[in-house]
Amino acid sequence: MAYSEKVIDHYENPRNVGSFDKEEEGVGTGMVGAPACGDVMKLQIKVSEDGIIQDAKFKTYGCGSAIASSSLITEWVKGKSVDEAQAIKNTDIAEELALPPVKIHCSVLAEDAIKAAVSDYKEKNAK
Amino acid sequence: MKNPFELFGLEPNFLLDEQELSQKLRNMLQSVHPDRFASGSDQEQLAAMQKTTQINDAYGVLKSPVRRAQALLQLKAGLDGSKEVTVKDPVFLMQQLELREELETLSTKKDMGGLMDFAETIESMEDAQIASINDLFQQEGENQLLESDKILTEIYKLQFLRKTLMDIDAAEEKILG
Repeated sequence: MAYSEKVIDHYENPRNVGSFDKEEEGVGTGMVGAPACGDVMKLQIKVSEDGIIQDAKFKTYGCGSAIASSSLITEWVKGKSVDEAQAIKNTDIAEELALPPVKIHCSVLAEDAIKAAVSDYKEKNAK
Repeated sequence: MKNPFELFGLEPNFLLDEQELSQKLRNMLQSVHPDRFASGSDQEQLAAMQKTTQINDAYGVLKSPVRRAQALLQLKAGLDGSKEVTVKDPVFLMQQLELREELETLSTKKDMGGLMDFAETIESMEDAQIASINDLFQQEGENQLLESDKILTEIYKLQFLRKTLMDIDAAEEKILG
């Protein structure tokens, strides 16, 4: 299968790989996995007091498309409000990266990961 | 078309005797071996070939604990466990992430002994996971109802462990060249 140039770029130079301390103030952590391919994705956001995402990090064990999808989404969410981030659609990721149909699930995983990170952040801050 | 268990003349159980299974495979493949149909009509030869494919496919399902469990769920509860889904169990996934990180470290260090020990650890986790799936299947009858959603979740966990084992194999092969 041929990967698009954008996928290869994100795969070879992934942006924002790493971790935040998940107990830290303003950090939201999303953990998701895809059993069919065994991919595991961790996506974290660091949110300022006014609800804007200052920084994002990810760690993904999976195929090139899964790594590219999570790398791209960490770039996209920076500077967005948590609600805007939660509204990102997997189809936008798939389109940007020109993912073939068999790899669409990788973009779904990235969307689920950001949603999980935002709900974790909201849950922590509701207390 | 017969389900894999029927094709092999087995009761639809999760537990199976691997020796019995491979013995049955040999016998069944012999009965449809091309040599037997060398003087047969084109139609007979084609039928034997199709049967061979069916037998091999069914064997592939039965010998894999993941696929066997999925086939049983399909059979008993009409549940398709092979769909692409997202799991969100943070505790389990964090553990899986840590295991992949450990594998990455061992792989970078080219630590062959460490990789072999690591594979043993994951294999025993896999055995435990298979045992708990079996327990869930065995409960059917006692409580009447099969806890199919619970089984599905446990199969997902088994799939992640399987993937880690495949990655260990790949890492070992890379070191050995």
